[in-house]
Amino acid sequence: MSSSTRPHRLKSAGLVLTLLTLAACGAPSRAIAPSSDPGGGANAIDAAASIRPITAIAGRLLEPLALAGLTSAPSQIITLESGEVRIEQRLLDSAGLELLSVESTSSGDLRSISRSNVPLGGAVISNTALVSRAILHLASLTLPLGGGTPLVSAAGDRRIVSWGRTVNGVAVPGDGTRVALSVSGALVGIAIDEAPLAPAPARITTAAAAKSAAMLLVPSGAALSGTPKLGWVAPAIGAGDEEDLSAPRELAWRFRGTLADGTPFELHLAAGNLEMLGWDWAR
Amino acid sequence: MLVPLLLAASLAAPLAATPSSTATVLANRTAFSQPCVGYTSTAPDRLAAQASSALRALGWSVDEVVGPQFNESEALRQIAPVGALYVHSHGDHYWDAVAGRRSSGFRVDGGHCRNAPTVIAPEISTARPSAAPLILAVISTCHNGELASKLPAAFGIAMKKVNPGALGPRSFYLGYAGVAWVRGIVRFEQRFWRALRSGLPAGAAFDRGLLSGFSPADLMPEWWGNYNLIPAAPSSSPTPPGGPRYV
Repeated sequence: MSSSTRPHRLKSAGLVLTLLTLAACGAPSRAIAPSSDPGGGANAIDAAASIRPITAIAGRLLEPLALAGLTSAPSQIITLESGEVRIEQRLLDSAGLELLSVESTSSGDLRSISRSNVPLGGAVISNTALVSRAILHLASLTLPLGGGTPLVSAAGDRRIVSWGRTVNGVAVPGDGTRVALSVSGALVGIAIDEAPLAPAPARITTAAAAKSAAMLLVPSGAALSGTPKLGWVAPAIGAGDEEDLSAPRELAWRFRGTLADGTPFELHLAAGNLEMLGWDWAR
Repeated sequence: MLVPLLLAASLAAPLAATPSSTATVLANRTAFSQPCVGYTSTAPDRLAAQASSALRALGWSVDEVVGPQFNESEALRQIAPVGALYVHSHGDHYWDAVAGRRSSGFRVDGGHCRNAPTVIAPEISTARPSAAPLILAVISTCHNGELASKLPAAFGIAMKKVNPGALGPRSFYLGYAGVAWVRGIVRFEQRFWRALRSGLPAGAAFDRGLLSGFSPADLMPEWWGNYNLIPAAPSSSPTPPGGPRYV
């Protein structure tokens, strides 16, 4: 694993210094007890980046009684596996356990809200009701609603309502807005992902030409199925199966098929020059 | 009156096995790489490395076996004593010739491109006759997150979910239902391990994984055990809340 792909505390004194220098607006109000932060760095970071205070978000998400005794931990700057820099705020209970985490971009856009200890089970509500709840949660936090029809899926006693991101009608797999809920509609978390895109190629090859190129690349005995789709995909490290999330998404033809033993696979070819960008497959 | 009763009960009860502080990370490289398939695959090494790294951060003494050395006998030898386990390979409900029915498990590497030998639940149960239940099992394969999977029971983990704040066993099992695509696996596990390293309980780490941007059509994570478990090694002190978040 390269060090650049590990999440870590940002050591860049330059960025911190820039943020601190810009901190002229004062600290955000804190309805919940702030942690001691003698240096004032965290508050300065929040203010500099116009970060919405976690206490305000908690006030919208948690029951009033649940807010008692919570403490906001000092904000910190983190770097995700993709290299994206975010400012993380956390709200802790009296035992020091994290109940709420909020990640924002350095320009203040809210990117992730995660709650802990949301009860499992409860009265199961319909998919339509789950979508309504997800929209209500987004609206209450004044977050943008996803476009198009959301998909509702289930995993581990949770429900996920997701709106995929599209650019000019082309999907950006992995990007978009997803809202995780309990089966009864309580908010578990929200993630909003929007990776940078590489410039679109000047000319897009036809699906037929792309399929001819793909046929030359598939292993012996493998077969392609269905119609290829365009998508903005993460190029893979060494054109393999591991996404390089730090790279801009590239416009690609996506093919699905099966290997000789029946294992499903997906192949990505650059839409402009049909260079192989990577692949994905099932276990 | 109470003391003699307790003493008698403690003498009558079998000695409880002590959980081990060793963990094993097993990953199949051969079946997923050239020349067995036509393409480059670095995901198994990535997945094994991030699992090992996170387990070490949680205080486990980790043995990592990636590639052809991950064969049937080595897998069972490794699994027999451990307290935590990570496996990345093909997985399914394979035929159990001894019992004459299907059981669940995973394929080993062993240098095989396809149809590698399997390790199935009854073999694991036999290898761990008196071991304590696994504290953490992450089975990064297809199908072993399904209700039909026999692996949780082989690890001593009941297929129940303990709610946040409730008391429960010191165990957590993570698997995937249906077919699991590797890009989705990498995204989910990256987020899951990051959350564990930051001191969150396993159930909350699972919830974080759900926000990781995998396609629901390509991955269906599932878990059983105790939401509240912080899966630190028994011999280690758990990460203090608010302590180092990314090590």
